[in-house]
Amino acid sequence: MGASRQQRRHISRGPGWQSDARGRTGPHCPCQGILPPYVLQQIAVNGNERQRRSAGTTLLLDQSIRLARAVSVEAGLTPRAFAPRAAVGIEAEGPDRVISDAQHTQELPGVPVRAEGDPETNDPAADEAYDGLGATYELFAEAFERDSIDGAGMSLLGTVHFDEDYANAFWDGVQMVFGDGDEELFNRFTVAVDVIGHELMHGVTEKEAGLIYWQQSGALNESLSDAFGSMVKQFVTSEKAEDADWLIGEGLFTDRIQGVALRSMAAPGEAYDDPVLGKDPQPKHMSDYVVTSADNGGVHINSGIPNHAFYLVATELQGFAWERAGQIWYGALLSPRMTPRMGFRGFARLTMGTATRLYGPGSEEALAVRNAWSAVGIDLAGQRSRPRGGFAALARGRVGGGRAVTSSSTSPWLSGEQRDERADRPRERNAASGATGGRSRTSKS
Amino acid sequence: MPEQGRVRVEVVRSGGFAGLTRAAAMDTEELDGERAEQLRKLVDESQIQSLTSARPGSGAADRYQYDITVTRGDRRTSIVLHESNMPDAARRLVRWVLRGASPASGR
Repeated sequence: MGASRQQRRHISRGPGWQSDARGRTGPHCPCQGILPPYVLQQIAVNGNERQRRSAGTTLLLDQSIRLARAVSVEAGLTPRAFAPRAAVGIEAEGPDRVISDAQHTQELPGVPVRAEGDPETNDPAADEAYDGLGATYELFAEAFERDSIDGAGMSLLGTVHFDEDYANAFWDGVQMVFGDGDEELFNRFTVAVDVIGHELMHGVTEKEAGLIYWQQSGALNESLSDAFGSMVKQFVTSEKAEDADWLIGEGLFTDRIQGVALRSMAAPGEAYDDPVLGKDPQPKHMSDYVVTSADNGGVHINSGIPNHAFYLVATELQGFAWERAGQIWYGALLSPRMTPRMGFRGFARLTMGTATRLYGPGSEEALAVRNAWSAVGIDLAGQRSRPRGGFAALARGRVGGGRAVTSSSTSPWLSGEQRDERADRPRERNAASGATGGRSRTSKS
Repeated sequence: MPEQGRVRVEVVRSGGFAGLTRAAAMDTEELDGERAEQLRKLVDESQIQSLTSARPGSGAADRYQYDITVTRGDRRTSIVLHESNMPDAARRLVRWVLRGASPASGR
């Protein structure tokens, strides 16, 4: 295969999805993904072993996506734009990393200190960022056939030493940024490889789903970052799900803090309990859902719920988390049914549909997914093995129409579309308060 | 001396990767003359009373949210700003308040 990255990019810059509802495509039809199916078929027949294996996987994934699209077309739903998604790297050329140093200012990206292939800098933060981005790239390439954040070899930009006493890390839409901590409560944020994976995953989620960083869609965004960040750590340590610690940000706390990490996917709410910081506020069940206007509506708090669901699926299935649990979550993220305002329940349904599609109805995997969501208070019993139209109607029919006015509903910065979304909100409230349906695990009556 | 009158600024920072909440308040009645004047100046420059709350928008993952309340005389303004898209002058005010207003860390 001689297609260079340039050529692949050229191919992928086509006008978008042009096939008919059955997924038929022709040579003049540039499709989503890096290479059109007819090229993949050629590789599957003629390529070397790795290329064949890779192309075969790609075709399978393409077909599953197309099937889902065909279903949604039949159901009368408008397929969402396919733009640059479903990134399937068949001959990824490896990462293209650039680490820069903000020199304790807020200027981004700062001064480049290590580009791809450069030797170590002897600055631990820069080298950790370089290695962590490399490990994250590897996981995505090997386990998910994805070539970087955008699926098309996008450069991985990381900046270290951001600002002064900055105990944080973030994704700014273009690059990953890491602070040095405050030397009092927090160490530098590059010490935990799952933090680096977390930030890179924000880029992937933004490209694939554009999940709005607010309330449930924001908490789902956060949870996807934690799940994939944790898988990066497990990938680096070569740990199976049942042996992993499932901690997020282990090593970030200085020894003055009483806690093992910032979050625990295995035991949300139990990562730390400290006189200064207080107690880990994460719930692991919908009955403890926290309604707040802080933290963009609790995105780092309620992420504990889908976090725990992912942990339950991975540990139930055992083996490396990315082999099955990760594939299911990733397939759900890439689903054409994914929307920017997706909530927990909608996402749970997508994982259920994906597990069924990948492994079959009634499979061990589908069962593990159903049980995991049920354990965190999201009951999918009765969901059809393949999603059909009318999700929202189904969901609304399932729970009663309780009503709750919360501080968040008076927030001055709800957009119009989010106000519209609140029509859907009572079901979340119900589940959150455990007020209806008797699904609450905790005895509150 | 320019216009006097009590000015109080409360800041609640939430979010960030760690999801921890920090709160701080500064009040001209509790500060010495020089720092009280500094607070008034920062509030003036921030034009906080003419800003409107904004949503974080995209590219804001893991950045901080600031809930700011400024009380000036009997006028009280509450606003939500986001680290990713707040004006620099508001950023300076927030930083000053959260850092305990020590002169060395005013920037």
